[in-house]
Amino acid sequence: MEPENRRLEEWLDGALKRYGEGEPRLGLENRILARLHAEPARRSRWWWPILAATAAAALIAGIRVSEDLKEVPAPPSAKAVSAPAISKTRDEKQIAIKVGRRHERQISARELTKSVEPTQAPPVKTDQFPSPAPLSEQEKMLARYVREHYEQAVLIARAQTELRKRDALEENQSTMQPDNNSSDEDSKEN
Amino acid sequence: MAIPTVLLSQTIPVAQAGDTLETAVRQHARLVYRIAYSVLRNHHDAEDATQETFLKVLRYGSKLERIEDQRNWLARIAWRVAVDRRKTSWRAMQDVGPEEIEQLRSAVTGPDEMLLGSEIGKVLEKIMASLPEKLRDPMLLSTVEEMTPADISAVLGINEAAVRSRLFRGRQTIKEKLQSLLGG
Repeated sequence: MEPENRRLEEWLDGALKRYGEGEPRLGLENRILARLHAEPARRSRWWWPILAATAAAALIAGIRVSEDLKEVPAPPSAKAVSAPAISKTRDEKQIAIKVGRRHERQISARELTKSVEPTQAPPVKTDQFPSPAPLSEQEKMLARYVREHYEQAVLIARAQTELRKRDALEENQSTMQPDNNSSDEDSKEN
Repeated sequence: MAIPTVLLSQTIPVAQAGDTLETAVRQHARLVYRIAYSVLRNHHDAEDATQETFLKVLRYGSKLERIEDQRNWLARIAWRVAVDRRKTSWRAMQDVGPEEIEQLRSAVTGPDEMLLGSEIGKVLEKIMASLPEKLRDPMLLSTVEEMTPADISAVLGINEAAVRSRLFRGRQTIKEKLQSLLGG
């Protein structure tokens, strides 16, 4: 029993030694170093798409901002007031561009036409923002009058404000009355 | 094909870290490979695990220099990588067929008992697989020539006395299993 046990011990020693004898193929170190060399290059490329996307976004944003700055409507000029028909269409376009940039899909055609006043002058593109605009003849006369007859001008302004308020009140009342009248008329007819 | 040191140095932020890593590869690649092979039992998988181990080390960059015992540190990483890679479960000893038992018997008792073919290696592999994990892990690491009980204790995170005890018990268990196989 003893010799058999010794043989088994010896066999086990040899078998365990052999078990761990895993020799790598030649050039293991060089293959590892080559892989390590390739790896950082691969890792360093991951940020390229992000950089490209950021640059593209910045470029687009820059273009839009510069366009917006160019297209801000300038104050009315005397030349623009002299052509009301053309000015209206230009004005519509201008507002559509300006508003469309911010709320392109929200604004309706009705709102657009409402916001356009016929007295508004078309914008004229100038190099300077805001564009310098000289006072019109009427504005000059008004300024002169206020300077010379200040108290009178204040009284007139107050009277006009009162008048406007009264007009608005009457207008409100008149809009309420026709419904009542019409219902009375209807009942009379019946 | 030798990779110039300069090239490797370019791959890591600090040039010195590149040198350190290259030195680590040159010194410990074989140990890492053998640890991986002891677990995976396949040359191709063992080489992949070795590559993966050093790729993990690469991520440490300049921190590598601050590691005191690089050898055991690398051995620990290699062991973890190899165990994680071993997707297939350890084949149980029940898989040992009658032909393998006959080969084993002739190898142990025959005149050419030291002739240990790959078939016998497979039998030992199956016997190892049947061991409880507590005994199997130190036994596997002990088959790596360079690994002393102190190194095994560093890799497995247990004290050296426990490693010695487990190695003794593991060896006894393998012997008993062999005897039962041969006796049957």
